[in-house]
Formats: sequence, C-alpha cells, structure tokens
Amino acid sequence: MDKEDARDSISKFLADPEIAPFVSSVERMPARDPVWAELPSGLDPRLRSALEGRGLERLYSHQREAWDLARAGGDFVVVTPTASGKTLCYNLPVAQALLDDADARALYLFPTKALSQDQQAELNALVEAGGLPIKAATYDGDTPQATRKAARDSGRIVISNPDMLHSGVLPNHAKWIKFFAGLRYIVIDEMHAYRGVFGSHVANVLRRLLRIAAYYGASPRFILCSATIGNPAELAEALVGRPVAAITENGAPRAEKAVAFYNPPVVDAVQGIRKSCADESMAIAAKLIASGTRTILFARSRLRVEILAAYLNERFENVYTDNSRIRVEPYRSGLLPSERRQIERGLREGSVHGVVSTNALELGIDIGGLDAAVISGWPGSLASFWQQAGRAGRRKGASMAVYVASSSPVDQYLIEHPERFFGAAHENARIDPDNPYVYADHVKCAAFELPFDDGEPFGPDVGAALAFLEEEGTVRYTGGRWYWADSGYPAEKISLRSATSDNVVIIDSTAGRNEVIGEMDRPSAKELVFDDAVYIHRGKQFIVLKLDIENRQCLVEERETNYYTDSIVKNDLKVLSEDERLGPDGLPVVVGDLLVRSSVEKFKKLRFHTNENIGYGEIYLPPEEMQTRSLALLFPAAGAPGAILAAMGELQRAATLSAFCGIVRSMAPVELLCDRSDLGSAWRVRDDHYGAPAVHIWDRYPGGTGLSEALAIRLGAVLSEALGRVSACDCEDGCPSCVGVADEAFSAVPRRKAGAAALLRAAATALGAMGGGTGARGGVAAGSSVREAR
Amino acid sequence: MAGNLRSRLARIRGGNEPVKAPGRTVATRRRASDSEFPPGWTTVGEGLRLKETIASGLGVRSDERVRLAAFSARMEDRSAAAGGMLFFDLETTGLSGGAGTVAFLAAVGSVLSDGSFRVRQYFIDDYPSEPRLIESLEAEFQSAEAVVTYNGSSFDMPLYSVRRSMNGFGPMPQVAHVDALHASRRLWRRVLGDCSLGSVEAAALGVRRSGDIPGREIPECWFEYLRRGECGRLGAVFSHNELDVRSLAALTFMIHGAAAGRGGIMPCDLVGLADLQSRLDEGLAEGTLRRALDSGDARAARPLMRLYRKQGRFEERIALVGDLPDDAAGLFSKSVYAERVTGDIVEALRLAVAARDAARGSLLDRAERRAIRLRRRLGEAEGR
Repeated sequence: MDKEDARDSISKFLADPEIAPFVSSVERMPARDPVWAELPSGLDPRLRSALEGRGLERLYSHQREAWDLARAGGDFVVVTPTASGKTLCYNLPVAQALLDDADARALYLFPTKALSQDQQAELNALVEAGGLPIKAATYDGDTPQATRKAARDSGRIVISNPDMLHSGVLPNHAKWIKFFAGLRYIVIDEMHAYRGVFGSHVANVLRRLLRIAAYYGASPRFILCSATIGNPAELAEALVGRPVAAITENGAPRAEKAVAFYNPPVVDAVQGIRKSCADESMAIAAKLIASGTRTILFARSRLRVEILAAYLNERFENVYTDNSRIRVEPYRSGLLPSERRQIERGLREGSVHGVVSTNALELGIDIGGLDAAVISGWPGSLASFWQQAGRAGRRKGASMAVYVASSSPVDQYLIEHPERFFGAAHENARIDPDNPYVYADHVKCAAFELPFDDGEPFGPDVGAALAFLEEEGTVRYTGGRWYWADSGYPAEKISLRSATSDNVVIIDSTAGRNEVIGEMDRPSAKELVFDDAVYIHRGKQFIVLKLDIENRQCLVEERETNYYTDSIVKNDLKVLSEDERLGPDGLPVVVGDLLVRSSVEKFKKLRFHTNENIGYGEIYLPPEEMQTRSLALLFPAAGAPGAILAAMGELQRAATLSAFCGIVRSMAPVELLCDRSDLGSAWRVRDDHYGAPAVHIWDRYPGGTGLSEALAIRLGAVLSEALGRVSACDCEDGCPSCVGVADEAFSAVPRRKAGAAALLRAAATALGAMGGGTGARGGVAAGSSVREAR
Repeated sequence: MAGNLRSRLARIRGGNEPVKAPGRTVATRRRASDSEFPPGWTTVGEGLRLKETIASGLGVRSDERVRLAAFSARMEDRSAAAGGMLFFDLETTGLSGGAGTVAFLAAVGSVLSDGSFRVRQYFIDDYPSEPRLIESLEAEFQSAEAVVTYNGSSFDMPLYSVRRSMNGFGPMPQVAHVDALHASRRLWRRVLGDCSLGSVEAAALGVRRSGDIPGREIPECWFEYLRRGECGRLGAVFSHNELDVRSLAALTFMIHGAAAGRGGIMPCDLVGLADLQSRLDEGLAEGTLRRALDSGDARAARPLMRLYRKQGRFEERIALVGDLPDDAAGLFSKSVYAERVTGDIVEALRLAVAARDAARGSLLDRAERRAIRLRRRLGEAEGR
C-alpha cells in the first residue's frame, strides 16, 4: 500500500458513520523528512559495497553521528524509535573495527534470546552482502554444546544475553582468552529493558565484564541503543559506570501518524454503561483489516489474545468474499519459538494481515511497520501505551493508533483528557548498581572469577563487601589478595531476574500424538492450564487432561467446545516475622518477612461470544508462594495519621488508604532507584496481623533484594515527594499522574484526593520529614536501629 | 553508603546475628605445626609440600609396551612404555569447574624400573602457592610419554588448563592423554550401572577402602585447614587421592591386558570388551563376540557382522542375520534378508513394518520407504 492509499483508508475509517460519532478526538503528528549524511570517507570499501548492495548510498544523520562518535573512541547511547535503522549505528563501526584488526572482537547483548536471533539474521545479511570475513555466533542457553567451542574460538561477534554472560561466560573466562583479549566493542541493545533490580544486576555484570576484559588487557567501548525514555544518558551511565554521550536526534523519516480516541457508545445511559471495549476493539480491528490495513490489536491477557484472534478469523471466514483469505494470528508468550518466528516473518512479508498480541510484541522484535494499532483500554503505563502505539508506523505511508476506552474510570478520564498522553514527560528508567544486596552478590561472582587485589577498584566499596564475605566464609584474604574460598559456583545461585525460569511444557496427546505445542511459566500454568481448562493455541481448542506441576508438563487433547475457561485468582499475605520496628508510636513501621501467596481454587466456564457463565469448576493446585522482605506502615487510631482514618466512614477510609498506597507505591521507585514492577503493595483497612489499618510494600524478588530496608530509610522522603506530587497536580479528584482514578468501588467517594493528601501530610509529619531542617529527608532508621528477636 | 555497607549487608542478609564491629574480625589462621600435619610430607617450596609413597608393584614391568588404542580409537598406533605413563588425579575446591575452582592437591603415579609403584603428591598450603604446584606438574608432565586420568577429559585436564591460564602459564603441554573412564564404561556400564572409580575398583580390583572420605566433602577439608589450621581430615583426603591414582593405574593395566588378550578380567560386558580388542587384534574380538553370542547375547551379532564385512567374509556375515536382536535395526536387516536371500516378500514386509514401528530418526524414514516399496511390489505381484 502506498502513502496515498494508506492516508485514504485512514481518513475513510475516521469518516465512517459507524465510527466517527464515537471518536472523541484525533491527534495528528505530521510527517518528517529524512536528514541525510554522506557515507564516511574512512569506510572500508568492502563495507561500502555491502551497504550499496543493500541499496544504501547515504546514512541517516544519527547513523553518521554514531559512526563519528565511535571513531573518536567514545561511549554513546543512541535513542531512536523503532524502524529508524538503529542497528547500523553499531553494526557499521563494529564491522569496520573488525575489518581493521583481525584480532578484534565484539560482544552484542540483548535482553532476550528471541532478539538475539533477529540480530544474528541481520548481521548475516550484512556480512554476506559484502563478503566480509566476520563470523557472528550466537552463544546462549540454546546453543548446542557441540558448537559452543567454535563460537568461543572463532566468533568475531558473539551475540548473547546478560544472563548467559553472568552464569556461563564470565565464570569460565579462561576458555575465552582470545575473545576477551580482543574485545573492542560491547553493544547493548534495548537498553531500556535493563531497569529496576534487573538493571542493577546487569550493571554489576558489566562491572565484572570490564574487570575481566582489563585482566586480558582490553578496554572495550560501549555502544548502547534504547527506545525513548526520559533519561537515556543517565541510565546508560549508571549501567556502564562512566560518562556516555547521547544521540537523540533521529534522522530517519517519519510518516504522518494519527492517534484517535474512541469512546464506545453508551448502552445504558442511567448506569453509564458503554458497549464492551473488547468487542468494540475487535470490530474496529476487523474493519481495518478488511479494508487492507495491516493492524495489530493489543489485548491484556494471553487468554483474550487467543479468543479475539479466533473471533476475528471466524468473522472473516463467514464472508464469502476475498476476506476469507485474510489471516489473523495470535501472538503471545507460550508459543513455541518456531511459531513466533513464523508469525513474525508472516507479518514482515505480508502473508499475515492482522495480529492480536499481548505486550509480548512491545519490545523490539522486528515485525516491520504496521498500518494501524488498536489499543484496547489503558495498558497500565504511558511507556506501554507509546510502545504499543509505536507498533503502527513506518518510514513511508501514514499510520494510525486507535485507543479504545473501556467504561473504567481511568479510561474515561483519559478520553476526557487526551493531553495527558501528549503533555507528559517520558518515564525515567532507574537502577541502583550499588544496592548492597545485589552488589554483594556480584562481588562474590567477581571474586570467583579472579582474586581481588588489595585496593582494586570495583563498585562503591569492595573492601567492605569482601570483609563481609570473609566473615560469611566465602572469600579468604591472604597474601594481599582476596580468594574465592567456597565449593559453590556463585553465579548459579544468583538470578538476574525475578521471574521463575522453570517452565511447564504443554503436550498435545490427541490420538496418541505426543507433541510439545507450547510452554508456560509455572505460575501462569496454574492460572491457565489447570485440569479441565480449555486451552486455546493459535485458534485450536484443547482440553487439559492433566496438569502435572511436579514433572512440569501438561497433557492436553484437541476438543471443540462452545466455552472457554477463566480462573479466579486469590491473593493473600501472611506476616512471617517482625524484624525491626521503627518509626514513632503514632506511625509504626515494621520491616520483616512476608509470605505472598496466590492461589487458584475455582474457574468459570464462559460461553464464547456471549460470555454467559455456564458453570464453575474446582481447581486443586498448591498455591504459588513467595517469601520476601517487606515494609508495613501501620495506622493505629491513637496516632495522628491513624486518627484521620478513624474519623472517616468505612468506604471513605478504604478509598483513602487505597489512594495513599497507590501513590506511595508509585513514588517509591523514584527514591529507591528501582522499577515499578520490582515492588508489590497492598492495603488493609484492618490488618489481620497488626489489628490496625496497614499498607504493605514488598520486594518482588524472592527473598528480597534490600528494597524494603532501603525504603525504611527513605520513607520520609518518599512521603514528602508523594505529597508534593498530589498537591501540585491540577486534576479535580485524582488522575493517573497523582493518586490514580478511583476504582469502580470507590467512584462514589468524594474528596479522595484531599483525604490522601491529608494522610500523606500527617504521616510525613509523624516521621519528621516535614518542615525543612534535618528532617527534610528524614528516615525512620536514623540513629541506632532496634532489632527484635523473631 | 560506604561506611555502613557491611552493617547493611549484615542486616539484610545476616538473619539475627548481631552486627559485628567494623574491622577485620576473622582470626588469622593458626599455622599447623609440623607435628600436627599428617606424616610423610616435606616442604619443597614456599607453601608447597611433597609426599612420595613407594609401594608394591602392580605386576607390570616398566618397559612393557602399552598400546593406547585400547583406550581410545583415536590413539591408533601410539603406544607408551608402562614406566612412561603418568597416572594423574586432582583434588579441588569445587566440583563445578569455572575460574574460581582451584586444585589444592595433585597426585601423579608411575611404575618404577624395579616394578614398584610410586605416587608423588603435591599439596599447597594456601592459594598464593598455586603457581608452584603448576610448575611441579609441568615438570612431571614433561617426562611423561602419556598422561592417564579417570574422567580427566571432562574434569582434571580442562581444570588444569584453566589453572595454567589463570596463573599466566602457557597453553597445555603436548602430551598424549588417555581417559580410562571411556574404556571402563564400555566394559562395565551394563554390569555395574555406575562407573565411578570407587564402584569399578571395588568390583574389578576387589579393593575395599576403609574410612574413605566422600568426594563431595573434600573441598571443606581444605577450607578447614585454611581457616582454622585443622589437619584432622586432611589425612583422609591424602590417602583418598593416593588410592585413586593407584587404583587408576591398576585398572588401566588390567583393561589393557584384557584388550590385548592377556590376563583375565572380572565379569564384564563381552561386547564392550570386544570393541576394545578390535582396535588391537580383530581375531581376539571375533572370539569374544562368538563367546557372547553363544551365551545368548544377541547384541554381539551386529559388531560381528561389521567385522566380517570389513574382512570381506560375506557368507559368514549373512549367516548372522538371524541372530540379530529384534530391535528396529535388527528387524530392518532381517527384512532385507527376507527379501533378498529367502525371497519371502510377505515376511519382508511384516519385518519392515515392525521395524518402522520401533524406529526413530533416519531409520524411521528408511523403514517407512522400505515398507511402501515392498507393499507396492507385493501389490504388483498379486495384480499380475
């Protein structure tokens, strides 16, 4: 489809009488012309012909800027949107360096294995086009043992991920001598993925990497790439531990793009109920796809993805026109890698016309540009919204994102205030490489890799960490060096990510078949493929015969049903220990161990299309449990903050506490330098354990990573920041930028925002964090800490 | 944060232990006096100790030639004098390898010219002496015609190589390496299941170790010595290491003797034995396979057929088809036999189908194609 056609079909869509009345507003972003730069004169002729072979005779300005910075020997980060040719920003200088020096090597790191594969293909294309003597080798958990040695010995570019670097490469660096000795560039793509605790781990893995490289006499340079975030240079510097220049001017062309806000028609004016957001999104996607507009529809869950894809395909089958050739695919985690590849290829090549996806497609995977993205309801954060909207948009040809609101208060608020999408600054990504818990773990790994010399620099305070480890008995100080002195392999026990890696395989056993059709992480398996569940896999329906958690497998059998199943998840908390009681009497703060448990005990059978509930079933599975560290903030009625709550009616108290919990949880990451997803939170009007209103905030890494302890120290600062945010917000009674929009249950509670502000002020005052002076950043752990026996 | 990092770590990680005062609180090791250290050791370098044990021989002359092909087909014609073989074993601080795993004890054993067996053990008192240990091993390796290990191709040798690079030594010396585990598995996996040195020495050599220390406890013994100067369990580690090398040598000569047709060997898998023998003497292998077949082991038929094919003895080869086991490959061969030799197409088809049902991989395709072809042939025959 060329430019004019696309614009036509978009204007046609917006003018459609079935659509137009419900489009509340349209924001248009104009097209932008490319900014060109000449190919650099120092470019190796082989590279030049490789580029020309692919039709590239000039560079975009940001690609040229990257080249110049690389040749000058600096570290830099390139911040550009998808499809702006960012891979050339690193492939070009790296290939040049490898051609200049036959011993030079490079390391490419991607956050996921899927992205590594894309990159390997991209590199191979460049290498083949120019007949370049550069071998690129993927080295990750999927690399067969037989080819690992070849990758180590002859891979000029090794493509891997931080986890593999952490547990496979660095601890065995003596097998990689040639590689480390020649290491010239470290490329870190999708840098924005390294945020929060995960990013803090990765920053420490990079410290270890640089240390080993230095041991073999190499001082590699960094090239980083990131999607748009608020603080790319800051994140890059925190990750690599040294100054990094940022390239933010994108020279790639951008076609015209529209963002349309669609509010489904009201069906019950009295109760304010609108037509289902899911149905409307699907109808919109169907209309777009049928008109030849390649479209991606985002849905919230894996289950919805499968159902919507099935509905769409059904819809196109029924029409006895050309539409029956239209193919829509579901895309979600749990598909086999080969299936994902196949769908991605189909999208790029155009044989797949539409895709329904979870946020699995948010991250950098190359599917080419699509014409339209349909976003069904608020995806939870602005970053997610823009990542999803960004899936539509190509270098040529107009594109459109349609945001379809649900009846939920957040969506209705945003429909009324579209400027919140455009005015807001990009989110910042934060990490804390010096988080003592994370840092100490990596000091261990580093000591295993190479004894530490006295006074050797490594992170904030390696001497203190080593002294601690010596007391623990895992390192030994002798002859001026610190040696690893334990029989274990430390990297094995330290996971960079919180998510569990043990997967359940889904096996199709229809008619004696015995075929793996999918994979799912254990917690999700309990919610989605319990016994008797209907499992939908790329439109095919299966019934679960047996979920065998112990052996990590799930047997399914093909069966047509007229219903699907949805489990009901129950979450609860159990306080295991109160290790430290801090804070004043009026606002006790307790740090201790917490058990976070989620269980599925029941499921609903829902008829397709009507969603009519046609039955229940029981689920017998052990709950998913995580033991972690947490901070509880208590509000006894005798204290000033508690008194504010005590004076309120039941519903208002709940609404206030929920708003308080929400804003504290969203402000805490700013102070703790972690990501929102690193923390969990809950509020209780009357806590079972403490017998008073309470807010719990916990570390979402099993066993904890020191975030709760750090929060105890910075709680005062978090509360005053939160108060500042709420006071400064010009919304009427809560919006996504401050205390959030009220849940359905609290929509009748007036002055929620004011209540939360009062509670914040009282709590901050109780902690001494108000009124300037020394208390401005006051923490509850000031002075000597009290420790109590468990 | 620098100042209170240790106390924060202790708070986060240390459970309820009181936070220790700053400063190095770990007591420096009490040096073990020589009277406490197990006997027989002398200090030969800074932090490096040596113990030499000469014991009765293993019934092998030092000038006897050992053909290395008995242990690995890749060795082809190479051989070594029994006295030139260096039996080698490391004790390490961990079992998972990686740059942080250090060898603190090494044993090398060899047959002396008077037929006795000598074990030299090198032990380091602490980490900084590791280069001295490597120097000693380098000297030992230099005079050896072949180095023999048990599971050394996956453990001892790569570990030694890593220790060399970590300490700035060059690449591994060029010396023939024989891993006796591979031959041992051929002989005893079906009989014993587990082919660890301990199981094999008990079964094949009749060695009973008393008070032996389990391998997984060994790292901790050295750490006890490092941290607190405790020598209590070191003695057990030393004799474990010494015995390992002695058993390894005895086993190696026993395997070689059996492969070369000299000397008996305790119950073993005859098919496996024949495999080792076939690299030295095909006549021996033939005899062993015949013996296995006579005792009812159908697995012997296939290697015997292979041997006959190699020797051009086609009549004898074909005569063995009936003895093949009824596994996928056996059924397939029987189907070929039925078609080409006895001309029984119906039986050939039955066998081909049975082979297909039992097969996987490329044999599955071949059996499938065969069945289709035979069915067509049968159909044509009937149609005519």
